[in-house]
Amino acid sequence: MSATLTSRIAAEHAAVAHGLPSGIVSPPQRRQAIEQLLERGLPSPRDDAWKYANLRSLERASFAAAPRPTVPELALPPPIEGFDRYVLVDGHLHETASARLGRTGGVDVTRDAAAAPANPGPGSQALRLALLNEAFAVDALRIEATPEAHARGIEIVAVATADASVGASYPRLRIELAPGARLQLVERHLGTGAAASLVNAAVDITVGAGAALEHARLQDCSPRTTWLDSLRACLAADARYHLTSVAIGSQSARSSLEVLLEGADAQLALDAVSVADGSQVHDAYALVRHRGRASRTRHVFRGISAGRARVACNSHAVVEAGAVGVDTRQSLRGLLAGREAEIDLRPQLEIYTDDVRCSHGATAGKLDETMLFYLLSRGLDPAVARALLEWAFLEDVIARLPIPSLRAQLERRLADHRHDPLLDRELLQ
Amino acid sequence: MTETSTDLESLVSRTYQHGFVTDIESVSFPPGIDEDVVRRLSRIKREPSFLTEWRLKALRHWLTMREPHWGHARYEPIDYQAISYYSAPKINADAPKSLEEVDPKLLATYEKLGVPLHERARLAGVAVDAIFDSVSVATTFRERLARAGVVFCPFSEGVQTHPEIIEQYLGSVVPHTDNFYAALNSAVFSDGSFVYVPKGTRCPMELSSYFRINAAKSGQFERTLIIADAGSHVSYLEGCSAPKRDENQLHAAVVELVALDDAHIKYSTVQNWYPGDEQGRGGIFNFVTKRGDCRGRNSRISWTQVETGAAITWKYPSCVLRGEGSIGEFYSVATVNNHQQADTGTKMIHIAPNTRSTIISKGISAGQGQGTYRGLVKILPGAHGARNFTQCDSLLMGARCGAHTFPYVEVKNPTATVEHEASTSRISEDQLFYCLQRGISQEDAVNMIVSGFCKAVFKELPMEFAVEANNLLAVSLEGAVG
Repeated sequence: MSATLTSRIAAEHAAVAHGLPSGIVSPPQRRQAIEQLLERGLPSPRDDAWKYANLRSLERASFAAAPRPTVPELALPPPIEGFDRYVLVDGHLHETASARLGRTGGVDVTRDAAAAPANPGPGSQALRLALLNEAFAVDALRIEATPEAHARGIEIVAVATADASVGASYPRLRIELAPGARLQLVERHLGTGAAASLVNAAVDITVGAGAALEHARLQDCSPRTTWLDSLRACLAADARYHLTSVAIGSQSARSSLEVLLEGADAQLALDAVSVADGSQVHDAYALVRHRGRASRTRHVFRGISAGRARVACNSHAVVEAGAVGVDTRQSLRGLLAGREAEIDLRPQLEIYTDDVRCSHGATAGKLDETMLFYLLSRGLDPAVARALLEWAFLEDVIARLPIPSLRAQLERRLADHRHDPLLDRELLQ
Repeated sequence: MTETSTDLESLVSRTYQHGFVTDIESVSFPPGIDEDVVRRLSRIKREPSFLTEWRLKALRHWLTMREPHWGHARYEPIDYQAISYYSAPKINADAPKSLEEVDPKLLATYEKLGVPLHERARLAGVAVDAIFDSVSVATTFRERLARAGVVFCPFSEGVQTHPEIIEQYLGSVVPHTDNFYAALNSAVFSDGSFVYVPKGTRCPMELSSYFRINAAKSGQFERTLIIADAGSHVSYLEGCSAPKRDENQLHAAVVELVALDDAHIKYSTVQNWYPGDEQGRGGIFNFVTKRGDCRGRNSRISWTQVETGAAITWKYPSCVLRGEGSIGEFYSVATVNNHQQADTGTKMIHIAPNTRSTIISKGISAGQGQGTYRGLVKILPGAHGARNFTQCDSLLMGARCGAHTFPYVEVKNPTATVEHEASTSRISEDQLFYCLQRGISQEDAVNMIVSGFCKAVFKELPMEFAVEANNLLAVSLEGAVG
């Protein structure tokens, strides 16, 4: 991305800064974010961590928060039983469509000024776009789970409606789990209509000692959207974090994750699915840093690239000196389902101590001919056989989602996306 | 086992044994690089004008480039104007025509290194091209090779005798614009080996080059070009060493391989440049560009490397699979100990249909060494039915070393199959326990396990060099065992 673009962003920010709510991000903090952006520059394909992302639409975007929309009716997905829903439209909290703010069932949900700072630390090249969120965010949700929070789940639905030429959505979340707390969190990113929206989300997560966060994310924005996301998480000793991430929508989607396993015996499970068709570009980047002794990570990625789409996944595990007993496993698999489709996989290990067990595997290719032959020999027609195998490929990840009603919704959505006749007819009845 | 373990034990107690300096008269350019230096070098070599112009183009391009720093290595900035770009043993106006005319001190040096230039060469059945600082001093068995039609000579001689082949192929695999070090090499390369194997010829013996840096404050920039014509086969091995010095010295080589229809080139390297001392002082900076072009149908290029030396290694022997059904292979063992840093791997670029590649990489990190595997497997849209298998394993010996794996898998054809697997761990406690309870000492046990870890690569080396590689491995891990 050019220096001209960063200068334009700075100029447009200066023009709108006075109207941005100081209660969400303070003006000095916003200014500092812009200064850092000018210093570091925007990512470009020349940066190794951004090699496969498509950020060209930023050149055409207007850098201001989208105005509060006046959408009377929102077509939202069915609610999930036992979850309180909060809706952000173009980054603004939609109060009538949202549950009440405040404390319920051991979970505090507030629009807190401290719902900051999703600010990348020094050297964090992958989270640079969080600076844009910091500079332009107009609303923020802070979710704090106490040890009493057991039964209640939280669902965040972020809907993008505005065209990028008008302004962008900057959803901003801070999730904090106190020691011993348990929380189920569902985060959906959706779009409406044919608008070419720009979404730039920032999520900051802290999981306290012995706490457990179950986090499911669905990115299903409208087909012309550019979706960018920066998620940072820090896990204390014995903390558990399970993130299931499903990417289906958007013209161009880039998800950047940085997770620090700071405490001993912390555990992280990343399960991700990405399904792209047409000319979509999906790029998932995850940097996991093991600092705590005997911390563990499992990263499973399954991507299907059809049409002329590109699906990329970069899983980078770092084991710091002194982090003995670490166990990290990465399994990245890509399926090419289109003549001009592309899969790019980078399972990376960076290890600075000897007492570790680290492994990774990556495969890319078409459906297994032997499996296909078996199904055809059992009388299935080719389209159904392919669909069934693709389904099995994705179920590696989806089956691990422990929220049954959401899993059913996701399975149906994936079936629709792949125009899957078998799943429509039989499996999902 | 006992014999092997005794050998290894004795080797473990040894340090870098090729670190002596030969006191020999040499001619060196003063430090610095500019167009005059390049012209002077070209004039000394009596090169045709096309080559002088090519060098100058490379220099002009190099001056516009920036040194790459994306490798996983840290080092002080290099002052390229403080390096002498030409150093050669002082010889008569005419190059030696036979071994008898070579300075006895040089021959003694190669004897010390164990490089077979005399009778031992005949026993080993290996033709050797020995390169001292910047020039080739002796090439053996040329007559026998000539009878088979094989050209094996110093690069500078090849320029005189086969200028048309050099002009056709030089820079066709690694262009002078390829990267910073390749551009520098293209401007100032001084010698190297030139091999041409004619159609349908199986080279009657192993070919070998031995590179030796001797002079202080000099760099070595050799260039090797191997062309295997249709249906031919050649196996080539290179080795290297350098004196122990507290300063860092630069080695920036380029190797270009061209395999035409049904040709097979096997290129093996046992790299033993001076790695620096235990505190990380001195050692060679080994920044090398090696690439093979499988230009013909069903051609095959195999790279095998055992990297035990050098303070910093930056090297990615690659295959461009351009011919239908061509095969690329990469087998590597890279060890780092003390303060060594190695960023090495390969690139397999699949362009044509039904191309295949295999990558087997074994990294061993000890002391405070940092070892990195960096590899690219790229399947382009036209590579229908392409296949790749990659396995890269790392072994860690010590709490302060590092092992890093950075693979890139890029697939643009839906009929291709790419598989990559990797693991990193320390020596298995179970294996060690088993050996110890059979009465094997800890050092022997570790050496044996390490040797087994590398077996898949060593079996690809010509036999006599596999023994040398195994010994080198034990030496390079000296002090790490236990």
